[in-house]
Amino acid sequence: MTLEPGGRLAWVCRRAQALLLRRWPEGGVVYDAADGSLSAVSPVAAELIERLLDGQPADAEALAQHLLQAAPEPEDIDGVNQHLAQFEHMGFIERIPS
Amino acid sequence: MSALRGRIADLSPAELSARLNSDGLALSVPPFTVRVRSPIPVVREGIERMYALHEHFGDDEVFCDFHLSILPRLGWTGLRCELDVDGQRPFTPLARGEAFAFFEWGLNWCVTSHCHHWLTLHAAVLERDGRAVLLPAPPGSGKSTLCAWLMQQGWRLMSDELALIDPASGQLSASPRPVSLKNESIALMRQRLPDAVFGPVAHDTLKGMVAHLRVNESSLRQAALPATPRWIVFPRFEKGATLRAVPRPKPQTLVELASNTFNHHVHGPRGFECLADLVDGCEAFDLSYSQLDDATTWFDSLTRSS
Repeated sequence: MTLEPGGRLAWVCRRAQALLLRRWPEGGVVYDAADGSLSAVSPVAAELIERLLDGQPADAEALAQHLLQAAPEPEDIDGVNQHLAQFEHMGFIERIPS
Repeated sequence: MSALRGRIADLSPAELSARLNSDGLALSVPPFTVRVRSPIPVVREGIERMYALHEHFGDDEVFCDFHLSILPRLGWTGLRCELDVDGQRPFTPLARGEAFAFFEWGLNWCVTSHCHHWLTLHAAVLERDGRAVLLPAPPGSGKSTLCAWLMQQGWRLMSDELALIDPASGQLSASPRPVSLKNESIALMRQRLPDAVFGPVAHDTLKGMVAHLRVNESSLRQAALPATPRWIVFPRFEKGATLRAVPRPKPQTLVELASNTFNHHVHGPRGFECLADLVDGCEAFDLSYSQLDDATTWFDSLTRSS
């Protein structure tokens, strides 16, 4: 997919049926039914994945706001973007135009 | 179902040899029945000593879960033996002196390859008061030594090698069999447990020197009793170390546990949920130790603290 330069990105999980998340206060584990792999994730990552598993697209700012329950600072959004890039690399989510 | 006919110890060496040399010995290895055939003396010796307290079936027809034959072979480098499992020969022949150990390893392979109604984990399991501790650990971590020792200190041995988890209930089934000791731990256990019964020693195996230790009568008598997993302990023997137990976070525990399963992929999402529930219900620790007595005190304290 090509995106317009400067266009905002959103992220969506289209594989929610294949992904299972188990959360604890100290973090979580994602199970991917496609290959049976397990990935340990931080508490913040677990919360983000839980939100994305509802299948609704969201951008980094909205996700940061969801985490903080307040308006995020730019560095908060950067942090979320780093997580999202990792999730994309792991095949959990994909990017779509916002 | 045929009736059990008595203990292996009740058979004379000649009777045992005759069974092993003919149609095979139908050996009860709870929760399995295994038909064993072999003309190799060290197999007879191993079964006679390690399975003396286990029961056997008569000569009449009985359903056996597995049929294992340990057959003599002549290799270019000396006397060899080969394992035949239900007509298949999945392994490279080994030295003849390893024949009894080959039987034990072959039986492990049978369970992990075929018994998918359980989730099977590479872990030792001990039980006290209905609650079980799982010891998943790589070779060389001292798992079997610890297991043999704790069995003699009042813990019930459910298994030295394989945790059998019912995915529906999360309960653990027992399969008490000889404890596989390696290298220095053989001499250590001979010294610390002078009344324990040891099997034939296999030298120069891929794991080094291997000898088995007989499971105690109490563990065998309670083989039908399941247990609830309560603790997961990753043991590591460290020469000279002071005992240290560090709680392990649940996510890392779950990932490590999954890496020790033989078949969670067979169970798919249900297997993941089962493992995650197991971790949910357990305390997990990384345990480093050098002294068995310190380890005993620590394991005993688990049962008092929760």
